[in-house]
Amino acid sequence: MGLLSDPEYGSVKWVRVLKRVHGPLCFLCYLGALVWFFMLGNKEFNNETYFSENALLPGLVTNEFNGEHSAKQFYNEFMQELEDKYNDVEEIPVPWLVGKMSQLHLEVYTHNFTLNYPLGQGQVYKGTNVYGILRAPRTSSLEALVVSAPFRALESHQKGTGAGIALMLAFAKFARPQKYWAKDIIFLITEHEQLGMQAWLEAYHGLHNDAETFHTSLGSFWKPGIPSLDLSSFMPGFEWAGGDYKKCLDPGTLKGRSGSIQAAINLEFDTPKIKYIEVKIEGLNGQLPNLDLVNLVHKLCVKSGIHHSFRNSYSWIRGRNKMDDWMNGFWTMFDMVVSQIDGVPDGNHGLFHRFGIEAVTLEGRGPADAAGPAPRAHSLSTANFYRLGVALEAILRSLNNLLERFHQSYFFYLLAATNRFISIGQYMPSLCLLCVAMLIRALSLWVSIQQDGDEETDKQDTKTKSPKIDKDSDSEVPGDEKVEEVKPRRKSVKDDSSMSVVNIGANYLLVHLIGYAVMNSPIILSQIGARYNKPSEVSVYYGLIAVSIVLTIVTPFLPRVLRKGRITYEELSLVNILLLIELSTVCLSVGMQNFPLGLAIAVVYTPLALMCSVVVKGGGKGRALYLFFRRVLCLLVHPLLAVSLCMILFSRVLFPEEGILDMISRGSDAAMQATMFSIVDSMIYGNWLFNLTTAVILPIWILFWQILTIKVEAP
Amino acid sequence: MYLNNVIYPFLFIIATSFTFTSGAEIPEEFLKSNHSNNWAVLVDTSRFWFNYRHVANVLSIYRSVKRLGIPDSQIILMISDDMACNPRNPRPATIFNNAHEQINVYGDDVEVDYRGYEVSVENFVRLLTGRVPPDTPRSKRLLTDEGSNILIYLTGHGGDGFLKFQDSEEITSQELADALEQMWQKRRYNEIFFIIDTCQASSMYEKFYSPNILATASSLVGEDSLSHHVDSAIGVYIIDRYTYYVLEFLENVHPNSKRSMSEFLAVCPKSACLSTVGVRRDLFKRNPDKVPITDFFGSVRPVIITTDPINILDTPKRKKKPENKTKVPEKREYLPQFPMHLVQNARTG
Repeated sequence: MGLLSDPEYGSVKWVRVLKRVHGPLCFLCYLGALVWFFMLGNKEFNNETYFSENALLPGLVTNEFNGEHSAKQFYNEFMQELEDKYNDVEEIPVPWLVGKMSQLHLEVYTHNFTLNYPLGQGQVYKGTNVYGILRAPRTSSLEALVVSAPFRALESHQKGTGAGIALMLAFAKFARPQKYWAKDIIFLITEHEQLGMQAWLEAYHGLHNDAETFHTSLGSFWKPGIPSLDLSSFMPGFEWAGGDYKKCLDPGTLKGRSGSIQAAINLEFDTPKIKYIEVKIEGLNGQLPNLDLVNLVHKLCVKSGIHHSFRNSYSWIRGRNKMDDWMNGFWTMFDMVVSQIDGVPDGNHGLFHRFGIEAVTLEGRGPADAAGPAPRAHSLSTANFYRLGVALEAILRSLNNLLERFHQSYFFYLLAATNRFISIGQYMPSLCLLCVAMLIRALSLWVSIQQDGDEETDKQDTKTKSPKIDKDSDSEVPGDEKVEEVKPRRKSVKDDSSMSVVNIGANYLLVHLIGYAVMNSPIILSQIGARYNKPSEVSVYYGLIAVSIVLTIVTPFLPRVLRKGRITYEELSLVNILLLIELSTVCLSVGMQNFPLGLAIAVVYTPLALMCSVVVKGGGKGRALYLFFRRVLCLLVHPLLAVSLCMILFSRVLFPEEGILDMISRGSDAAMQATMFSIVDSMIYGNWLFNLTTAVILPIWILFWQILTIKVEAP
Repeated sequence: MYLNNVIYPFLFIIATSFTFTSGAEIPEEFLKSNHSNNWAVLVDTSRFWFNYRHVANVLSIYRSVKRLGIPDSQIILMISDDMACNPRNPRPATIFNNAHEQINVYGDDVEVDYRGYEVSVENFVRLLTGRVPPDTPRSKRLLTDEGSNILIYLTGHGGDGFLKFQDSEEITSQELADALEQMWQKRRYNEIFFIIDTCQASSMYEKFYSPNILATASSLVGEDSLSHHVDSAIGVYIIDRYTYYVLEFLENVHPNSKRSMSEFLAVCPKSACLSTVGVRRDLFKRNPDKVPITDFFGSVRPVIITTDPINILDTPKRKKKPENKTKVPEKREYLPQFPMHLVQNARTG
């Protein structure tokens, strides 16, 4: 096979074929990817779930749970306590919980944590978690299971969790005298939703708030005190909030610990009279619990006689025909993909995953749930504390049998139903096809500029027929010129056909540095806003809009600043090729970790990437129109604009009766909130979305914009 | 007169297989056996709580052979995991082989000779071939001779041509066959009865080439051996099918019963086992129909019963050998605990 730099290959057959067919081929790849993704919902393309872990022995043991009465009692007492003493305050009833857990002879501890809000005027939030440890009677405390429930105040707009906490206490009462526990069980009640859970997990794993940032705090050898880039030296007089590298969440310390946590079950039950259980699995950055745990929970729900669901897939609904099954599977999968894009966990279980702990949330739902009505939910039999307790007992006894961490089954998968899954090997091809389309496009561009170059050199030295000499002159002459050009930094360019790689490289690097700067800008923006007493979300959102507009206007002139003289067709083509390669690499590598995010980026940016090409001066009206269309498309997929548009559309879907202006204002408010959430999530929990968008996607977008706005001479 | 009857409390037993006198009569239904002692090697190769049933399997066989008369000193019991003391066991210090939990096969006097990580392929082969380190205690040695009948029972997880030991290593059928051949050449057995209860168990005996081996397996190649039932109070599969039916059969065998080996080989029909029990007879010289089951499972040796009184107070007179008389009794002394002469030599030299 010939080398790509071989000047002769212009005449090779595959090159000619590629040049002719690359357009339709790329389009077919794109279409193929979407079709493939659509097919994944079909039963022929996904598999039935199965247990890989032998040790679980699910459901073999007789259920002995007898705490129905005590669960009811705990529930009533807890509700009474909240109404009597905590009606107005959003505080967790620490004395009551500690008292109850102590009565059950658990080792009870409380855990305090503090959040220094990173944006704005430095608000400080405090919270308390309560946890009790049931020590395994016949073994050392080397391993643990966690049963957790978030505490929600009465006036919280979210569903309460009183029944979950009561169930947990009743289960603790039942489990305490049993002699078969081989792992400790930690009963944990957290405050402030995910914040409390994050603080507890960090404290449990010995993380402190003086580590650099959350991204580097796990598995990093960076220690505070090592000199690093000190930003304040660049701008004296301006106070940098991030300068002292304190994490905004201070997890504090735990007074009591157990062993390494093997698995966690998070309970969100408002009332015992639920109709079905929704098993929530999505975690931070799209991480998922091991499929074995998910299977286990579904299977034991079946065995305990509790209806269960996963998104659009309901255990009590069976499709009438294949088409129904397919659509149902597709929408379940699609729903899962959409909710995973933002990387925000849909329950407290999602924070466990990054610590290597498998966790799921069991959410109890009634017939008229906020999450949307389920078909025929009214006719289902109502669950009670007994059945819930039996299910919890069965799950924990099965987890108790574990000998190693969950590792046998899949970590990367999509679920098409409660009992059907799509493994990574089955869904990756759809993402790969998108990236292949971009790479084919890159290859065809490379081939065409090479050949153009060949033609020119052929014209220049027509005397030399030998291809070898031809090649030498091709590689040496521009190289020499480049060196001359760079070293004395001459302002004028002698040869139009020469390529200045350094020039392009500088532009490329600068654009990425801009992205990195935007990633770090929210703290500065919020501080500037705080000076004018603006709320941080407003200042950050409008600040980002301003930055985006400035960048949109300025960046097309960036290459000119770096280089006196016109940028050439070849240079811009090279940028285009590099850009396609970068984008496809980013999509693939992100897709390995968080497939939905990678897929979303690829689906949105591939059309632009395939249509984007170097703009040549001149041309007719049709060409100008096409160019205009491409520029509009490019503007539309600007990350910030795309988010805002999505939110506006979403608010249109939710509130169809409102006018256009209301819709826009509501949508932009939502976009503002979304931006703010993603920034805060990135700072507190280590969510990648904001960092990825600003540091990688934004530079890629800028490069596309540059290519589409700079007109060059035809080669 | 020969009887296999041990009802009479006062018997005068002369226990040797070489004392068949001319007056002896062999019962017509059984063939004569040459063995002089019985040994059993019972191995559970798998650990972990979910393999409870394998421990129950091996302890069931242990219980039977012990009940039928093989003493603990002649049973080598290898168990990889301590199920009785597993913290997950809701019935601490017991192992049951039936959901009714009537028989605690762990019992009061189980002597486990190799346990935990000592159960390895190396130790197993060394045990069989007798190539153990010199400091090995007697309880960990298979002290058999050319008159020994050995029962080998293996259980665990197997595949086509191998048996897995402890999730970490495996013994292949060829290695096992070679080990048995070594035993034969070293005259370490008279006859072997080889039982294996694993998946694809019959693959383990297909490579055997040494004489006098009767082998049976719970399943043929390509078949799985299945567990019998779950004890939902303990929460595990409690015993494998084959061993369950073997135990059911053995519970009705007594030291004096006249069951034959062929009955044992047919103990688990396919309807009960769900797998086909494999048997290999070609290496075995006797007809299994005519071999009493106690030749392998019990320690019942040929017995001469005499009705004539023997005066045991009258000690039999030994032949006085003149050479013994003249021989000076050997002078015995303790060895020095520390080789002082070496040290003294070193000092002087």
